[in-house]
Amino acid sequence: MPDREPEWYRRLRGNPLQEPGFTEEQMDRIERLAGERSGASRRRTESRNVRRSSGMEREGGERSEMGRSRNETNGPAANETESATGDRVGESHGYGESRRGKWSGGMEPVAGSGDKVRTGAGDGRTGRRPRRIRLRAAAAIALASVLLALGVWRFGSGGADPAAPGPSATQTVPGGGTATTPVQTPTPQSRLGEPIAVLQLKGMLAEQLPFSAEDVTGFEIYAARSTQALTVPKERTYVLLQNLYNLDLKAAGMTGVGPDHYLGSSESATLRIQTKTKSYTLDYDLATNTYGAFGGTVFRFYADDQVWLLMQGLLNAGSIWAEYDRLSEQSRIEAETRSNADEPVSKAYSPERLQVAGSDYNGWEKQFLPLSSGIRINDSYMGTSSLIQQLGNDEPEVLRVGNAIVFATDANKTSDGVGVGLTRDEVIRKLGEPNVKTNTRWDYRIGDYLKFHLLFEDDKVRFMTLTMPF
Amino acid sequence: MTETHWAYAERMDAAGLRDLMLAYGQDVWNLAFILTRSRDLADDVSQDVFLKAYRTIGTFRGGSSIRTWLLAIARNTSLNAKRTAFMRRTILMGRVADSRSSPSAEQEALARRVSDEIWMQVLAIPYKLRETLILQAKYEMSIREIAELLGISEGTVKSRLARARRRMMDAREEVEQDA
Repeated sequence: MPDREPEWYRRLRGNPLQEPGFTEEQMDRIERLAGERSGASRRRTESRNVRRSSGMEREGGERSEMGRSRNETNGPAANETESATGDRVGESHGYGESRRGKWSGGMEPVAGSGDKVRTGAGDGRTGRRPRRIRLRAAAAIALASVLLALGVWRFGSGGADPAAPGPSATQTVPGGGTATTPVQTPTPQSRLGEPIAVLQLKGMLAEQLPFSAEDVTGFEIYAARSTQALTVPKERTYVLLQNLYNLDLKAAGMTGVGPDHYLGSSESATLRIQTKTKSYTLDYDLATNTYGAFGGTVFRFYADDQVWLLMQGLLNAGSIWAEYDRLSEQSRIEAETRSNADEPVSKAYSPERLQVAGSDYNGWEKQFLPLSSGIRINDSYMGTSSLIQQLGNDEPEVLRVGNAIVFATDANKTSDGVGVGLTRDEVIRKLGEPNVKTNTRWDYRIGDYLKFHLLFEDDKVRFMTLTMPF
Repeated sequence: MTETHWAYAERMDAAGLRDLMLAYGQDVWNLAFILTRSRDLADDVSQDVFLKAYRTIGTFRGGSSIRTWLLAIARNTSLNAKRTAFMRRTILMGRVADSRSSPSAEQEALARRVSDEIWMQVLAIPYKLRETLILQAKYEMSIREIAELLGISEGTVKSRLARARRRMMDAREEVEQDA
């Protein structure tokens, strides 16, 4: 490396900021917190009780501990020095949970007792009462009058101006949300909102979005050639928001002609983003997992794996991907509401026992490498690009999505015989208790990370998963 | 304090904690800042890192250097902190912000504080590439050490390093062209 070290590379050895980051004051504060640990346990319990009674408890008491321990030096939780974020490193690496599982809803700063609470970077240092985010504004879609040529072509209305949405029915959709079903023909994109225009094809999409994430009140999906408008469940709006905000337009740009092989439905859809004041639209194509129609350009941008799974659940509900998405989401919600009594078990399993058909994650990943086909995903936030793929002829046996290898049939098992179809009792007899358990998902630890997971449905293993930590 | 000392320490006293912070505090804080791109989060992360080290020094057995151990905690804590911060800001807090000015305002504030324009380019590349590049370039860790810290293969580390360098070179070229 030193031989061909560019000039900029050497400059990285310095400090990133002009002023020192880690100060004497910080050291004093940390020492004080460390020294006060003796009373931490009792006060921690008290603090949790306060949060519980306020309906503010989150998963494992995590997250807010970080800011609180620094800023509540005079409050009841001043000594809460157990750094959950550090302790539970392993827990954040299953199923892509690290990207979503820890973002539990209902997290609020603790108010009362005169405690000062830090709510996060840039959020201010005092507790503030969060406003409720409205799911949707009014049902009426306003009145844009001109039908664009794109809309005519897209919905095949032959130039007829579709009626504005009228009465609608509500139905349950995967993920636990509701879907609204208009009774008339689909509304053209131009009537759903203002198409999002991107003027520069580089940088982050967030810099060009005409709204802020804080203003978004909800998402709707309008499938082409369908009369249904599906509402993205509130608890999953972050999937779309995160991806749109972190979309690196250069890295996520679609090149070539798309996937060689298509795994799911070829429906394209219109994504309607509702804000407090108006609505915006964006194309989403399930066949390529891409966003498009940015200001009428032909450029398209790959979405990430979480968006793909969410869209499968909404638009391709009968697919194996939708089934996996549904159980994953169910387990995520359960994990967020898990009681503090369910502390993770620290025992680590030997890697060999948690291999599937003799292979670990890396071994299985190699089996997918010869496949050139799949749905491309781009995770701009993590800086990765990969394919969603499946193995199996008549039915999908093994899926690869994001950082997970998912076993969907009993064709592959661990050396103890654990696989799809086993009951919970059989799993315990063959393998043992999991490190982390919810009703739907059991996680097993290898080394520092939770890398082996079982998703249950009707008391039987429905999916078995190997994950690779980020 | 020597590396050997920490490898056999069952617990840490106040003096030990101070020594650890004096020796590695800035390293930990810098990594947290580079990964989270937030001064506030870097403060929180570095605090958590040393409190955890204080509490769990007995579990450190010298498999890696104490510095690498601290950096690993800092990396994982930063990753979680960053994600939580985004969620808080966008979903939970429901704060109203000026949509058009926010990203650029943040950029400008950051640009005023960085010690060298090169850091603005580093901070702009994706997380995975950024952390790999920094662990090598700034912390001078080997491919193997990075692989172990991140829990990925050495091949993946090399691939990410190559992509990170490519991104940086592209960014440098753009800057030079604009100039």
